Amino acid sequence: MESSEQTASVAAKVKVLNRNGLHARPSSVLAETALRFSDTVLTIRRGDLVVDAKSIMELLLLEAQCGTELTLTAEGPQAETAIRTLRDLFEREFDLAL
Amino acid sequence: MRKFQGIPISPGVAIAEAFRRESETGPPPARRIEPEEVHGELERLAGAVEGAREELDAMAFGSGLAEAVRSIAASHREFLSDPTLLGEVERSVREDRWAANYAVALVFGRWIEKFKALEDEFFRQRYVDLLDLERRVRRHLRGTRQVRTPTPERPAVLIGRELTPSEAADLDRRSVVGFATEMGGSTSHTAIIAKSLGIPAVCGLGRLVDTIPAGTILIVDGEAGLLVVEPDESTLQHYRDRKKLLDRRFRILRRMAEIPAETLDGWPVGVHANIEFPFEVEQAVRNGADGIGLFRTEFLYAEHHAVPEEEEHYAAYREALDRLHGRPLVVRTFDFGADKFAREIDMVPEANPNLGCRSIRYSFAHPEVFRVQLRAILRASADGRVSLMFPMISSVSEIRRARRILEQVTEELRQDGVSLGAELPVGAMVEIPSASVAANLLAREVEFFSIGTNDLTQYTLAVDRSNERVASLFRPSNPAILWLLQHIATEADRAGIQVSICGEMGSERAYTLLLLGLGIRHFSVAPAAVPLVKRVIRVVTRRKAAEITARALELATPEEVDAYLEEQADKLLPDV
Repeated sequence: MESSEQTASVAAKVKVLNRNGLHARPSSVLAETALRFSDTVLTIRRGDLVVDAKSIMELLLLEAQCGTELTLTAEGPQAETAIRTLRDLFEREFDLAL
Repeated sequence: MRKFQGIPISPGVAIAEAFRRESETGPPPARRIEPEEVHGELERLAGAVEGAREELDAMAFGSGLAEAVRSIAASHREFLSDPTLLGEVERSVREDRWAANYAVALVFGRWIEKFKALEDEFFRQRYVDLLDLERRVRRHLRGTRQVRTPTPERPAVLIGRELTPSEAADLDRRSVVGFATEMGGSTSHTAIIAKSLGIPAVCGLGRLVDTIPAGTILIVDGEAGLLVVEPDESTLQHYRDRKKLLDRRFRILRRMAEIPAETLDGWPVGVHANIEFPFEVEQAVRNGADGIGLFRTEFLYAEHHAVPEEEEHYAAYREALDRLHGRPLVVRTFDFGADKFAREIDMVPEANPNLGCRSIRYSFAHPEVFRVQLRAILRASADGRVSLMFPMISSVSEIRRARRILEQVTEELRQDGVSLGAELPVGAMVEIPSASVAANLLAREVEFFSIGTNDLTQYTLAVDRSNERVASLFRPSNPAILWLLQHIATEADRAGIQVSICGEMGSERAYTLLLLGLGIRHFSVAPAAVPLVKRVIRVVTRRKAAEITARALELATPEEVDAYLEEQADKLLPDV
């Protein structure tokens, strides 16, 4: 009898550093990156609004401006890696600062 | 006479009759489908989405379209691949059994309302993009080809509720000389398109279409965001004069495209363009560029997750050369960091990417990637006047190492019997302080310098210009930068090599004067800035420029330098 797998749930707080906030370009980078973790559920919360990190449209609804704090949550086999990668994206301003 | 204050979205003055644009087709009828029709309907939907996607791809990468139109098409395309959005439409067809066009209208309509309810203007304006996309998908479902926005018979100012980006891009500029809409905002994509196409426009005027009969004389003041309805004589005259002034300025700059850039005393200066994509060559040439002084090649890496093939590189260089019709092309090798390239998940992120493994360092660390690019550039050199430059050079060792690799690759190609150009001049981007200070040593190792003033200023002043807290410290007019530039120019001259400027500094008229005075005779700027730079060059003699520069070099602060240069620029160029 197999024991059921524990799906890890990992969370992290991030801050939007981009000058123009999480607009179309960074949202697109974020969604594209999140989509690579196909077996992990990724959500982002601002206050009591929770959105799917894999959807550009939902990310835009966050209206996350520069300085906004968000909470990333990942559930699934790649939760740790996913959180690390996404948090890193926020810190690097989605590579759009150059 | 009535005046309406709206939001300025594109500068310029338009004086013409009103042409009313009636509302677009409303929502389709709410039609349910039978269970057995679901499969077919989903297929039709997939076909329409695919068609819309292809159309957007063509716009995103097509030639002859403004940069703004292209990037907006690219973002629309991304919205279209959003799994949530498409998923909801599919569910609406499959589970609720709505006909595809109604499902699209329903789901998009819901999302449009969500965005309209947002508080932040910037994010709120995305609803217009969704509207644009909805119309596009529904048009594909209908199977009709793209229809042009209705065209007035005489030059007119278009007024309507709102204009989607596609509609703005599609306007026939011979007949629509300006537009004014009830809705819209300055951050909308429509605004960006209007600006890039040079169509004076105002938006956010509120309800007014109903109060303006077709044919009424209107004035659009794109700078002030004003719409004047049935202007009185003095207002009309005021705007006619203003329009004359603006048109004159535009004509002067327009003419620059056709004549060579030389100083007032006949000293020829090269004005080239910086581009990111091959299709931009067209705009550069149209604006009178003598060639491409900087071809950024990162786009070949940005979209992919694997290394781009040699053929892709070669095709891009060939395309640029074909459009240049014999003009020169300077290709810069990969200039990004490891973090941008392929977004490899497992890599440990660098604490300081700007000072890290990027550009030439990245190329050295990934020789297989480097060689592919070098091979492609070498092959392209057989098809036109190609030069190669290496970015982020900090020492002579790097140039020597890069040249060694280049020689190896050249030898490989020769042995394979591939035809190469007779020569491939090799240059260095001078953008790091060490390369600037030791310019004399570096000048002996290359055929030309290209000064990247943006990065040079950042590194020298230790300022991150994208950091709002310190961005105001980023001043190319800082005397230290001026002295460095003078040093680089002097050493290049001594070594007998060409030096050009490829940073933004070259395109600001005050700095163009200064750089001319330093003896710089090659500029590479954004395509749109080519006419202005040419104009600046033509109004001044070499001696006058040198005088201005000598005086500027005596000043102690960036503020004093800027004030002095602005004063000189105003005297020489009162109308630009």
